[in-house]
Amino acid sequence: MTDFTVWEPATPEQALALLGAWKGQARPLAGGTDLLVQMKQGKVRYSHLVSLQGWAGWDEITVGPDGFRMGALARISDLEYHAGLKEHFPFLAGAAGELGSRQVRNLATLGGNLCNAAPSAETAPSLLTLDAVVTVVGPAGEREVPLEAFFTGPGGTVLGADELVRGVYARAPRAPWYGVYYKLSPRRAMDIAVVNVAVVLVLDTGKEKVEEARIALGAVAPTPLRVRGAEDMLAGKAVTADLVERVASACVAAARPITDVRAPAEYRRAMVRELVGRGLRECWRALREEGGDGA
Amino acid sequence: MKKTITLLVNGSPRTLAVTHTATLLDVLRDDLGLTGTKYGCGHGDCGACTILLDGRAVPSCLVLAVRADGHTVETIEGMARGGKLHPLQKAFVEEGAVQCGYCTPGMIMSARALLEQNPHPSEEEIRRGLAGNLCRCTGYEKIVRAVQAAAEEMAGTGVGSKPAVDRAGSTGAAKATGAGEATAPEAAGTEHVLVLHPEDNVGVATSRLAVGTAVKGVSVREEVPVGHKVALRDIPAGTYVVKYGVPIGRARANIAAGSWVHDHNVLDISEEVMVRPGEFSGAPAGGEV
Repeated sequence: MTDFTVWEPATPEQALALLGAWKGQARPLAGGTDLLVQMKQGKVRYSHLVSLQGWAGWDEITVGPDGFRMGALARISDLEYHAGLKEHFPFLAGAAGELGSRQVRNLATLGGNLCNAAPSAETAPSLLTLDAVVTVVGPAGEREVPLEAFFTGPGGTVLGADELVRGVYARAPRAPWYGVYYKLSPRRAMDIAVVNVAVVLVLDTGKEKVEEARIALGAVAPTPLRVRGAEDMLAGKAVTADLVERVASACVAAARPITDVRAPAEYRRAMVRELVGRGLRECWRALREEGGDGA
Repeated sequence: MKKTITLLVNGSPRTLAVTHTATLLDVLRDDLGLTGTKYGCGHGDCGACTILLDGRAVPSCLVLAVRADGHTVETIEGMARGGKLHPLQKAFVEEGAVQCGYCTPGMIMSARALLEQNPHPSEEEIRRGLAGNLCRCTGYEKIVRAVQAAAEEMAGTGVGSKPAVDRAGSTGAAKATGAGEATAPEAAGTEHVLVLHPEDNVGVATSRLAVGTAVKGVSVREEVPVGHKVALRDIPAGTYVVKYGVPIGRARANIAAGSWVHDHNVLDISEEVMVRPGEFSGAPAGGEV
């Protein structure tokens, strides 16, 4: 790696000041499991790294059945094993558990996963289906950005060079709801998704039809994305094989996958179709089985 | 740009100056001479560099050393206690889970973290728990069996004492303690130990020491007067240097007879080594080498 200075600000305010002072030449360093790898590979270069570490409250996770709030420095392994998250939002805890390896998850952070902004970001699809909101701090104070508006492209976010993600929060959908997350990758672990998908279904209280559907796709476009057009097709309807096929097709149409070393675009499109179908069927089945309720 | 940091490494506080760009892996291996932890890929993919940072298994190649200041680090060298192998190390050796030995230290550290979190893992949980550690030799079967055996022993449910069969070959224990160099199974070489007595006498062990033998009490053939640390004979590069029974370095290069033995020609003779008489962390190189 080229030479750099590591700054260890004792407070977030000091960190912001450093980022502002070294604008463009400085990068926040949380877990480092993406940034340091990219620096070692020579893909990026920064003369200054601002260490985000040891700030009270920044790694906390608060979860209840109605929603959660997580600090940007919450470790991915903390999400994976958080009892409340596993109970009330298992498709998010499960997504966290798919990231990298155990060792990487012990270093990696939620904020880092989002700010690295890979199209395949592990936590993004589940968070998108929960309409998650990112809180950002900067010289002008605190602001909120819906996650859906946070990513701008591969590796790109709306975050300014002198801003930091403070945390993420989301409210649970109205019960009864259920969510699933699928990650498709050649290896069972330590791999990046070829396609990742999250599906949430909210049913009416009688569980006869879908009130609201939320579908998020990853690794098949420059950013993780919600597929609103496909979601709308489900409103007020029961999930049938025919409807699943049409919704899946709409998702395939919305995807803009590339061909790369991992997979050809056609394969990714085919897998979007398959995984969206599975997600819809799984949510529908889980909610309508005896005792099926919130995810 | 350097920063002075203090790490608690295997129970001993180590203070040293590190560059900002140095990783914890660099520092452990190059500055502290703890070469048990291996460099595999440098990208956090292979797990060969796995250590415990504040009790969490992490890839040390992705931890900047300056950020580990004040934190607790446990490496493979700290696993054995008082010359006794940790149940995981013993199981790896007995089950033949060590071949070339390169993945072994990281694999054992990950396995330890796994068992601390889940003392009774299923086979699937073991495989998932070790998914961040790659092995090109064993096919993982015996590694999984070793973790299962160790789990049973640690939980007290082992089926009585097994014969101490070393299926990992003569160098298995060395690889499981991080002492041995990862190599083809038939590593050769006579292990000579240079012993610095509490009175600063210097001598050479009278006979070859098997790995795992406690060094305290080994007979010294020749001594020099108090206050002089002079090699009595040519000491080959790589010879372990031991002080108060705790290995503290290896001869960096050949030390000719009549030369002083001090920090210029021994890697990491360090006053910061915490000396615990009577406790010997395995080896000659189970401790800090």
